[in-house]
Order: sequence, then C-alpha cells, then structure tokens
Amino acid sequence: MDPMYLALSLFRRRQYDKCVEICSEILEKQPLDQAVWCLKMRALTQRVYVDELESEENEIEDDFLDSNVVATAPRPGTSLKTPSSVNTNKSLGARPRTSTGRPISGVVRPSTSRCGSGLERLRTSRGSTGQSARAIRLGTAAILSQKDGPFIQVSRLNLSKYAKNKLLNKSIFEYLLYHEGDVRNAMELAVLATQACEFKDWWWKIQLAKCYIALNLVREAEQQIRSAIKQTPHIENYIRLIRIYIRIDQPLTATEVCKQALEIFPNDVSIMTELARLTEELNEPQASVKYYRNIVIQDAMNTEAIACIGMYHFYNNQPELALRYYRRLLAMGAHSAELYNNLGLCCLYSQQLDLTLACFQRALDLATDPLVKADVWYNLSYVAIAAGDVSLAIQCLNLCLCADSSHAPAFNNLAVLHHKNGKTHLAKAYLVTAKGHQPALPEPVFNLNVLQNDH
Amino acid sequence: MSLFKIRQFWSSTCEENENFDQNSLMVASVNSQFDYIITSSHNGVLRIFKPSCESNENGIFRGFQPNDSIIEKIFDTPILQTACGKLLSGSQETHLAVLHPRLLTVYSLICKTGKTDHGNEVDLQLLYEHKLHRSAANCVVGPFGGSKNRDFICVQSLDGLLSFFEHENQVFHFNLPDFLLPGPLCYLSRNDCFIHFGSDWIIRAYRYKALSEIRDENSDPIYSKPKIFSEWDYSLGESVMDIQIINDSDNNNKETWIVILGEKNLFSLSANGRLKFMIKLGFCPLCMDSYVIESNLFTLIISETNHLLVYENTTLKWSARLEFLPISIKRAFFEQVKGALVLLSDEGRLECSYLGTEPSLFVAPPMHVQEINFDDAEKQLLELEKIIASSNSNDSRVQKNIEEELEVIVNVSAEPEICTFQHNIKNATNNYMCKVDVKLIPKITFQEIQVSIAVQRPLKVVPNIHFFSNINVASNVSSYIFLDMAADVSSLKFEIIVSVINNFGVPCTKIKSGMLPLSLVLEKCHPEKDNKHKITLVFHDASITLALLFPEFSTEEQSIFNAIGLKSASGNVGTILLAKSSEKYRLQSDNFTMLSLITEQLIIRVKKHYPNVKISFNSSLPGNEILVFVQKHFKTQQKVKEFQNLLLLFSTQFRLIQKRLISKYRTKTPISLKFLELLLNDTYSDILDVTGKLEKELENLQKIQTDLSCCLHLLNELIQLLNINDDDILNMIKSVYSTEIIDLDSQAWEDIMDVSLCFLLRTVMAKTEKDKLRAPHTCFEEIKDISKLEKHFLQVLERIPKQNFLKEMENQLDEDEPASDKLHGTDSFEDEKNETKPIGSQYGEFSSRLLSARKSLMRRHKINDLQLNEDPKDE
Repeated sequence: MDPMYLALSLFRRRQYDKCVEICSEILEKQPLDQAVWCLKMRALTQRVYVDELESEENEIEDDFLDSNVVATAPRPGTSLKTPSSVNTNKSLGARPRTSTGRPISGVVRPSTSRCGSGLERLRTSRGSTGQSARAIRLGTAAILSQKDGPFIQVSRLNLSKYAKNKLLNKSIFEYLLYHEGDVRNAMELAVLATQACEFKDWWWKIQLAKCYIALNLVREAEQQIRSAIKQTPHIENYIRLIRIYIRIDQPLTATEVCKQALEIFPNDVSIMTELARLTEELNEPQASVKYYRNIVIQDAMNTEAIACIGMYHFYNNQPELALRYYRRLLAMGAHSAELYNNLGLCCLYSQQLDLTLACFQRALDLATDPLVKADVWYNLSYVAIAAGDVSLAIQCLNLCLCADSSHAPAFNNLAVLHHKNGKTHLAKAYLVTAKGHQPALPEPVFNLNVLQNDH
Repeated sequence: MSLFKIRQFWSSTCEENENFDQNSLMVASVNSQFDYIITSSHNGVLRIFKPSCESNENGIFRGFQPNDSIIEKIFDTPILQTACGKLLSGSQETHLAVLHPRLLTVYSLICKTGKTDHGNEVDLQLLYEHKLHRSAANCVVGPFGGSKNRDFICVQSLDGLLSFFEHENQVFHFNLPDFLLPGPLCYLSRNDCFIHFGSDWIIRAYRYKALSEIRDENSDPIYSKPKIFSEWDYSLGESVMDIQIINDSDNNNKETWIVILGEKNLFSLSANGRLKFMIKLGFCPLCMDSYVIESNLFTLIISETNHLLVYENTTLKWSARLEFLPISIKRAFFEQVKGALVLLSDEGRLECSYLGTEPSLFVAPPMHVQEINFDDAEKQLLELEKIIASSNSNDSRVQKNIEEELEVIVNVSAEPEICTFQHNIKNATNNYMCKVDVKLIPKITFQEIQVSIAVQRPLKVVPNIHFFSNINVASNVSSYIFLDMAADVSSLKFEIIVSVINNFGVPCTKIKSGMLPLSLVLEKCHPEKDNKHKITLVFHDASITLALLFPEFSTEEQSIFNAIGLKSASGNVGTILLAKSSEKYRLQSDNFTMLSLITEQLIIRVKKHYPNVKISFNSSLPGNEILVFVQKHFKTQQKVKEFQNLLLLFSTQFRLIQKRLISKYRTKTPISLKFLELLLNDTYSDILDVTGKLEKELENLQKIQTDLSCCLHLLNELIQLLNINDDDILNMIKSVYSTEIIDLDSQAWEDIMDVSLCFLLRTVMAKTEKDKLRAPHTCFEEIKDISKLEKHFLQVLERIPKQNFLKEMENQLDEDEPASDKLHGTDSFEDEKNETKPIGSQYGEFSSRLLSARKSLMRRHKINDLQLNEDPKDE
C-alpha cells in the first residue's frame, strides 16, 4: 500500500504518533514532499491540540495593568466584579458565594476557580462529555521531544512566503500556535495571510483575534471577531465574542450577543450554556434555570445543566426535586464525592434519613481532595445538628477544620455551637477567625455584632 | 455519561493484524431486498455478510451463524474502498466496484439459490478492470451528468487527479487546482456537482459539466493546470472527517442535506452551499452516518469517549455507551431487523446492534463497611469523647517543664576524622571534621522535635537540622562540624537548640552547648619567638606545664616544653609561651585574629585544672588592633552597598525596557524589536557583571565578619578578666561586644555598635553628670563617618578598667523597668512567650537573641522596635 495513503488513514483514525513516524520515513526519502510535510505538521498539532474555548482561564480579577477596564465604579448589575448586595435568607441557608461575592455555581468549570468556600457547597464535577481538556498551557506542548531537533525551525520559516500559500498557511498557523506556542510568529503569519487573502477569509480574522487575546489586546480581538461574524456566522465565533465581553466585564453586552446568536442558531446548547452561566453570575437564578431547562430539552445528557437545575431546586426549598436531578446524574455514571455529598444533603432535607448517612459514607470514601473532605465533614455537622447531637456536630466541624484549616463557615458554626454551650469567649475567638479567613461571609460579621450588643 | 448501552445482537471478527478504515465498510442491497454488509480490509480481504438474524423460541437473536458469511475473497493488493451501482452498460443490475491502490475492478455478485437447506452459492465474477496511473485515495459512484439508470465512477488520486470512468471506458482526467492532501469527495446528484473538501479548509462544489468541458479545451489534461470556477464554496475553518449527502426523496419538497463532520463541529449545508444548521460538539468525533425520517435529518456520531450520539437536527435524541471504539458506522435493513446499526472497528470487529431502551443504570461498587454493633460503638464513642474532653481541659499539664520530659545528651568525639563534605578550603591539611552525637531520651510522646545545631562561621554543620515526628523512644542523631573557610575561628563553642512540640501542641525549646576539640581547627607547629601582637595573662597560684594543658599536642620525646605553636587553617600561627618559674603565660601571634581562640582555650583548660583560679590581665585592652578590622569591615560594607545600589539601578532599567518591550509587542502591526532586544541584552550583561562583583564583595564581607568576630571574642574574654564586680554592667558590656556580626540591608553592624557605645558612654560610663543630660539616641542612624565610632570605641575601652561607673545608675535602671512595663501593655504576654519560645524560623531566633541581648539598653530609649516579635492579635 502507498505509505502516503497509510499515513492519511492513520491520521484519520487519530493514531497521530504512528502517522508522524510514517511521515518522517517518507520525508527521509523525499524531503521536499509538501503534502507529507503538511500532514506531519497537522499530526503533530493534533497530538497536542487543546480546545482553548474549553480550557480558557477566565479569571476576573483586578489587574492594575489592565487597560481595558471600562468603568472603575460600575452601576449595580452591570459588572461581574462587584459583589451584589442581593441576599435572601431562606430556611436552608443562603446560597453560598465565592470570596468575591458571586454565587457559587453547580459545577466546576475550567474557568471557575475554587476560591472561597460557602455554606453547603453543591458541586459536581463536569462529566466526560465536557471533555477533559484542562488548561495545558499553550506553549508547554513544545516540550514533547522529537528525535532529531525540532521539526520546523520557526526562526528560519519565511512567513511572508508561506502566508501567501493558502494550502499550507492554515496548517502552519495552527502548528505555530498550538505546537510551538509561539504567539508572536503565529500572529505575524495571520496578519500577512489575512492581507494575502484580501480580508475575505473569516478564519484568519478569528485566528488573529486568538493571538490578540493571548496578548491581552481584547478590544482589537473584539473588532476582528465582529468582522468575522459579519462574514460567516459560526457558533464558536459567537462564543469567543461572549467570552471577550465577560473578560472586559461587560456582562450585559455579552448577554446581548448571546441573544443575537440564539436568533441565528436557535436552541444551540453551547450558546445557551454561556447564557445560563452568565445569568447565574449576574444573580438571576430564575432566568439561569430557565436556560438550563432549555438546554436539557436539547441535550438531555448535559451534566452541567442537570447539576445546576438540581442546585437551584435545593436552594429553593425543594430538596425532593433536587434529589431527582442528582439521582439522574448518578445513574449517568457521575460517581464522585461531590455528588454523593449533594445526594446526602437532599436526602437529609427531604426526610429520607435512612439514605443520608449511606450517601455521606460514600462521599467520605471517595473524597481524596482535603478540600472536598472538609466540605463533606462540614455537611455532616448539619446532619448531627438535625439529629440534635451538638457534641457530634462539634466533632464533625473539628474534623472539617483538620482537613481544611481555613474553612470560614466551619469556624462560624463552631462559634455558634460553642456559644450555645455557654463558651462566649471561645465563640468570639472563632468568629474572629472566620471573619479573618473570609471577610465576605456575612454570618460571622452578623454574629459578632450580636455578641457585641449582648455584652 | 449515558443512561443507556448499545445492545449487540450479531458480531463477527476478522483475522488478526488486519486494518480497516472508514471506507472499509459498506452496507448495500446488491440486487436483493435486504442489505448486505461488505467489508474490505487494507490487507486485501473482501468479505460479504448477510446476517440472518434468526431468533430462537425466546425471542433472543442467535447471533453469528456460519451461513451468514457469504463470500470471503483474498486479493493480492490492499482494498481501499468498495462501491456499488449500475456499472455495466445495458444492465439494470447493481454491481460491485472494488478500488485497489492502482487498480479499479468491477464485479457482479452472482447468487444461485441452493436447492436444499445447505444454503446459496455465491460468486464474484470479474466484469472489467481499469489500471490507474496514480495511487488512488478514494472513489465515488453516481449518475454523473444526469444520466438515467447508469452509474459512473470517479477516482480521486493521492495527488489530486480525478479520473472519470463510464463503464469500460476511461472518459477523462481532471487535475484539481490547489491540491495538497486528498479530502472527502461526494457527488451531489441534484445539482450534478462534486463536493470536494480542499486543503485550504474550504468546501467547493464543481459542476460535472464544467469539468468535462475543460477536458475538451486542454490537450494534455494530466499535466495542465486548468482554471475552473467552483459553483459555490463554503469556508469551514477546520479539517473534515467525513462528508455525506442525503437526499430526501420521499417528500415532495425534495430537500438535500450536505452533512459535514468537522473536527469540532457538525455542519449541515443545503444543496447551494448555505448553512442550514451547525452543532458544536463537545467531544472528538470519529465517524458518522446520517439519514432522513419525515424530513428531519438524523445523524449518528461516534465520539472518541466511546459514545454513540443520535441527533435529530440539532437536538440530542439519544446517547448510548459502546463496548468498543468503531471507526465506521452504517445503518442496515435486514429481513428481521430494520435499521440495525453496523459498527466496524479499526482491527476488524464487526457488530450489528440496536439502541436498547432498558437503561443500564450505573451501579456503584459496593462499600466495605463493617456491620456496626451499636452497643460497642456507643461505648467506644463515649470513651473517645472522654479522651477528647480531657485533652482540651487539661491545660495546666501542658505547661510542664520540658527539662524533665526530654533528656538531651551531647557527645562530641575527641578525634577529628577526615572530612568527607564539600568545603571552600583550598589546602587540604586542615581537612578534618568532628562528629557530634545528640541523644534524645523522651519520657513521653512528642509530636515534633527539631534539633538544630548552631556554630559560628567559618565552621559549618552538616546536617544542621534534624527532625522527628511522633517520637517516644530514645534516638540518636549525628552531625558533622568542619571548617568551611580558611579563616580563624573565634570560638569552639557550639549550641544545640532542641525545639519541641509536645502532644498537646505546646512548643518549648531547650538549649545545650558543647565544645569542639582544638585539633579540629588547629595543628601544632614550630613556636615563633617574636610576634607583633602579644597578650600576657597571669594565673595566680596555678602553674601547669603546657604539655599538661595541651595533651593532644604533646609527644613523648618532648614532654616538657615552654612554648607551643599552633597553626590554623588560614596559615596563621599563634604561640603560647610559659614564663619560666612563673605563672605568666604569653600569647602571641602576627595575626590578631589568631589570639582569640588560643586565649579562650588556655583559660578554659587552666580552669579545668584549677576551677577557682584568679586570672589577671594587666595591660590595656587592645583597642587599636580591633579598630583595624572595624575599618576594614566598614569599607567592605560600603562597597557592598555601592554594588547593591548599582544593581538596583540596572534592574530598574531592565524592568523599564521590559515594559517598553511589552507595549511594543502589543501593537497591532508587528514592528521590529531588534533595538529593544539589544538594550535588554546589554542591561542584562550589566546586571550579571554587577552581580558577580557583589557576590565577590559579599564573600569578602563574610571573611571580615569572621575576623571581626574573632577580635570581639578576644575582647570579651579579656574584659571578663578585668575584675568587674557588677554583673549587670559586665553583661551589658559583653552584650555590646556581641560576637555575632550581622549586617542587615537597612542596618549595618557599625550602626548598632555606635548607638550601643553611645548609650554606655552616657549612662553607666558617664564621666560627669553633664554627659547624662545629653539627649539620648532615639533611633539608629546610618554611620557615614567611621572616625566617630572609633572615638567612642576607644573611649569605652579606656573607661572599662577604671571602673568609675556611677553607681546610682543601677537604681535608676530598676526604677525604669516597671515604668516601661506600663508603657507596653503586652509585656505580660511577652514574658509568657519567653518561657515557651515559639518554634520560629531560624532567622527569628537569631535576631531575637541579638535584640534581647540589648534589651536592657533599649528600654532606656523606649524604642518600640522591640515589639516586633509580639503579636497583639491575641488580645
């Protein structure tokens, strides 16, 4: 069989290592075969490819070098950075918030960092359909060794020549960006190529935007993506635009873009997911859950949507409904400590006490991460409180603090329990510690006030 | 993630080491009512199956039967693809086309029905074949040019040549423009177009008519590059796995879908190249199959995570887990089963399955939880709670003295060994190390014990820290002490600090000291007669021979001698002379630093023999000699500062250039950054240069620090001999001349020294009342002029022997202390802390010792800096 055909077939079957091997063999005989060269480049790229939409670190934090900030003091409801003052107290406790005051989401997404702990944290890990592509930093890919030096000497690449070659330029660009992690050269190629094709190919505009984003030139990226969308509507382009607006803290514009996109791609799951996340961040749980419900109608296997709906019901005093959603997740095979923890809590509040401890037992068995373990023990303290066993609750909270010594809600609850036992000074000390660990948490502040007014 | 699992009812596997690809599977009803499954491997084996799918009495399918395999034919060359169509002129029958790399053959499938139950006889009959000039990639069969009841074949070669065959005739060739890698090729019968995916990631539609017309214009079709305009194109922006064309012929509206499976998305285009819809796939797809039911497009997609997903337009209808990873999927209609899924894996596993509706629920693995006996458990819990309760309340026991609970025995080996560690001494003569054993005998369990051994430079300890956790049995640790630099050693004393956290979590410390053997750092040499620096000590009523005092250096031949020479690693020689028939010892050396150690050793050794001996030192204190070293230290310190400032300057410059570079880097149009790069490199080399110099100077500083420390040690030893009766004042003076030389970034040794000396001069050593009235120093100032310090230094040394201290000072100090207690409200805490020293960092301990040594001095000045170590958070 023709080795070239074999290489193509291996590439199609995603056996990139073998494909690269065969390409190298062919290239040894015919070093100038462009087709083989291109195929090898594509295989090398695919081997390390990470979808940046999945892995993007979308940190919203104050960066004093950030020149893209629109307003330093945004009006309420128009920013993701300022904590919202909406705080409704329900019998199950308010929905937990992150240390920056945003509501904690039902799933761990690549972009949500695990900072801050909250009351009764409900989280499930994202399912495998969500792809396991976690941020491998672009550029580390280049470490993957090749036998005899790098495949392409980037510095010797004649970018202006290849930019005009429309058969090769896209492959070379992806190779530069994903395999070499060389944003600058990739950008140079993109600039030349988009000129060469007379700004007619939307793809180059998107790639240019990718490079701009990597260099934190957000406004320029926005321009490019808008222009590309005008040429060809594409779901990924809309998502990129949404992410850009979130990045420069313009959630309302991002929502607007989501709605525009949904007109062109009605009921698209990925855009609706963006919209649902966004509304959740904006403290509109009803709207968010509405979108998540739409997602589930479109894609009944969407773990993120199911988990978020479950959490919404839980904090809406409907633990029985939440239980149904979480059981569905369990049936789908999400076998994790977080899920069992949530199931246990739902069982507790829907009075199915026989299952509660079994769920927590499993959660403890599965929890390897000390932070997760701390949360499970924290929730077990609620079981103990529900059973009226204060000393057991104190032990549970102590165990929680053993696993995570900066668990502010645990300190707060410990203080309350000790106060009940008459140890006011100890309670005060615990409250101060809780406040020190997480200043945004409202409970310790409130409790401290109460204590101060008493004495 | 799925609730369901795909149910297999018929399966077959091929031989080992066969390879299949996407095109290797075909499902077609070749002149029959129901579908055949045709597989063709890259190893050249063609197989045709007709699954019987008979079910037994219980309604369960019987699976693979030998009769189901109707043909297995082995070819010499690999088979890339099979296709079928009406490929024989004048015949309405369907024939089978087989594509080899260099050959295209067409067979007819002849099926003779058997007369008995033994089955049918099936044979493949060769109709015609075409030799191919180029290696083929794939082929497509269709009624090109709108011909009725006739199908033609188009073969795409690996280098982009389309060859068209009308039955037995090769019609024409066409070279695809801008070709690099062969992509999927499809025929759209409605528009009579070929859909081709090019290497520039653009889908193009070429009209068959346009292709055939170009053939007419060009004489040499193979090598010419004709211009052809595509009917339409669509920029996809990603590579494509598969393209399928679905015609909805059932309905009147006659819709056509072009379904494209990209690497990240699924696209659906209309016949004229408009996007109908797209789905962003959250997984890596492998293959797909599409079909239409009631004008809705159904797409089956296999993901890399072993899942089959069924989409109706954009809605996910079903998802099911697969047992294996197929590379090709097709739908087939059999006699018994309609719409079965046919899956083919890479290595030839062929399965027919259906989507089961019974959910295969995830069953968590059983837990290993022991049955709990509630009575026992309750008892156990109560016991444990008792322990917990007692452990928290019993705080008084926690404070118990550590001396009783932990015994520390230090053992220094008298015989130095050859040093095996790396050190900075060039000459190998002083290449010795000394083993120090520390034995810990704990009486109770300790949570953590850390043993650290502290020596002064130029000595070095390896390892300097030992750590134990949960220790309750006696254990031994050993470290080795050796010379790290060729410099004089100020003292052979070393300290062992044992920091402990007992099992109530209370930290304590215990300090022990030891003495190293002299032979570790000194060796015997010939005594020198006359030297620059001399010190005479008188030991009243105690005369011992030198041989007795230094037994390790006395040899048998020379048991009585009056002089002994000792040589240190730095090459300096010190001599001890014993005056004949007197109690006078003279210590002399050319290097002042050498005297420190031998003085210390002499005094210690004499005191060993006569514990109550009275020693006197009658000459004046060696102030000027020490000042030489102080000046040296000061100069080096200045130099270090100079280099540090230079480094600061350069690194600021470096950062500025970096910032500029970033802002240039961010501009939209890339411009050359050569100049900035040049600047950056230049500054970088400057930084390296200065850093090198600074390192050298720091090394120098270290050396001078050890020398200075030697001098101060000697001074301390001599002051000790001056018969100062008042212990407080003695301690005060000694603490001023601390042997620890510390140069902090913001505060050099000289700065501290000057303030301390001034304090002494104005208080305990004040000559007149007027001195006392002068404004005290309230803060440390950086010393710019060394001469002032020198003056103060000499003044203090002058006044020490005179002992004309103002006695009332003492009373004043006593009065002051309670006052300062009131000032700093946290002092009560501080006292507690002194008892149970927290296990702090080495640095913290270091500096606190330094500071506490001068605490009495500082109190006078009410300097709040002392409160650094306290943490008022507890309040």
